[in-house]
Amino acid sequence: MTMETALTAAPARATTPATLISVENVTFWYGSTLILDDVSCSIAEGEFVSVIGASGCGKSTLLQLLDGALRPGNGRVVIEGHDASKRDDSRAVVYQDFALMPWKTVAENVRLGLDYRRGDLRMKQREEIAHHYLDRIGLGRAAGMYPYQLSGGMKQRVGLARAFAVQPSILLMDEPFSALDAQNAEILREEVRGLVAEERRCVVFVTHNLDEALQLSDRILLMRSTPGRLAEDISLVEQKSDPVAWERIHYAEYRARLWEFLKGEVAAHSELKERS
Amino acid sequence: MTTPMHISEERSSTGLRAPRESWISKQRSRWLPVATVIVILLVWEILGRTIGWNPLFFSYPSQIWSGFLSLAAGPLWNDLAVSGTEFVLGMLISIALAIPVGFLLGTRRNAYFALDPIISALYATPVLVLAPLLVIWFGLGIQSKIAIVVILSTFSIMINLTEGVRATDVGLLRAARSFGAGRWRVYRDVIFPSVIPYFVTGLRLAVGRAMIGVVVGEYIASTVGIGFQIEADAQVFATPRYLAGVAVIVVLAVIVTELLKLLERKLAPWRRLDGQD
Repeated sequence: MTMETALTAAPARATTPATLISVENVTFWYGSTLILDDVSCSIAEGEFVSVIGASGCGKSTLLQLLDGALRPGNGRVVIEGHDASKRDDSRAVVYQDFALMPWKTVAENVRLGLDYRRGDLRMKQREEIAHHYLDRIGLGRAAGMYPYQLSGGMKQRVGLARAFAVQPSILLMDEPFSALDAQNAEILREEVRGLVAEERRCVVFVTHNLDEALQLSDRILLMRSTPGRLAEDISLVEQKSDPVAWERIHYAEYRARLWEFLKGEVAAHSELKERS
Repeated sequence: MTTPMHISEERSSTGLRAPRESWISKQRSRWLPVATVIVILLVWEILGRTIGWNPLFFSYPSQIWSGFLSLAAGPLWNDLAVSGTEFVLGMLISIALAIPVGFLLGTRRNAYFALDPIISALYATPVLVLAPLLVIWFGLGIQSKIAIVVILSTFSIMINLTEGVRATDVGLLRAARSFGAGRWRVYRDVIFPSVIPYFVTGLRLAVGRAMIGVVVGEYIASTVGIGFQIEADAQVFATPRYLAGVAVIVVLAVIVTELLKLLERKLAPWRRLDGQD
């Protein structure tokens, strides 16, 4: 198998995109605390969906349920027709705190998922794929370095390369830019936009940042907190089809709408905390 | 090792380079400890020669060196061979016991809750009080000293290993599993590497305790060994030879500790490079 055949983009969007993720009436308790209450949604092939909500609304829990790291108390999460807890090659996660192995070099970190999932490939092929993505994100020269030698932005690039290297059909991103400074976050947003468009992956993107969500997403899921429930499912596809109108009119409208919702949520959350 | 990207020899717009650090300043971590030891030895030697204390109770470096030469011409090498055997075998048994139990306690919560209080109590107890009993059980030979080394050093390694396993970054475990690592690979790629620094710390503590075990064991009941020799010289007030024996132990302890640091650098290069050692 050559690297070209090993590197495959997700299939091009069909006229009716297939559903990749189906969350059906999911409830999740952490001990006796109800974190998610009756959450349902579905996400199709090639969609970029952001999940927004106040802190503690269960966004990251939802992402872990999609990754299969957690199992729902009630309901089910189905990924490409299978239960999410069944480990397969469909998903890869980009973590807020990078989660790079400090004892592995940059190249070894990027190869990590390939080593675990693609035993069918020879080491040389896995290395070539890892280097392809390292070059793609501009870290080709850093292949032999250790994570501590990198800046936060570079570490997250490695995290991105590691996730893209396994060529998942679904990319799960848990506040990937929140630990970075504003400039690095902006640059990486551009990188992600480019990579996602190029590789046509389905992305579930958890964030606190409204602008990030509006810039990157096709859809936004708004979550209410205590317990976490899905409050609104906003599609931006139609508005974004006219880029000029989107930038001049709709962007600000949607931003105000999202902020109005979040402001109320944060205020309610703080009040609850004070009372308790 | 690849040179970090951010380290480069740049010139300013006026052609100036960054000021260079002198060799003396750069290497101070190497020469300062040596200089300190030399100064202490010199002051000690001068005081010893000028004050004229009773040679039965006090000695100074040049006399101790003579004592060392006398030891080296006599029983020293045989004593070191016996004590070294006791130390090495005791440490090996300690490591063999501590690794499985340490990992068990680190990975199994019930085992941890059940056994941790007992192990912590045994670690905190001055188990040297058991030494006479161990001599009765195992006799005057090296077996009793090995037993003393084992009960003294096992818990340091075990407790550190347990803590290391428990302190493994949950985020890294989650990432490894998410990317498809099975149980063995999680151990190989996440738990083992993150435990290495804790393991070496446990070894360092264990080495100190093991040396105490060997010396005290030989002190209590033995016919050979460096501890026995120190005790024998102390009994006859051969102070220079007695202190030479102590100095030999000090030098060996420093060598073993440095070897362990070297081992950690070899096993965990990311920590050395991170300046954490």
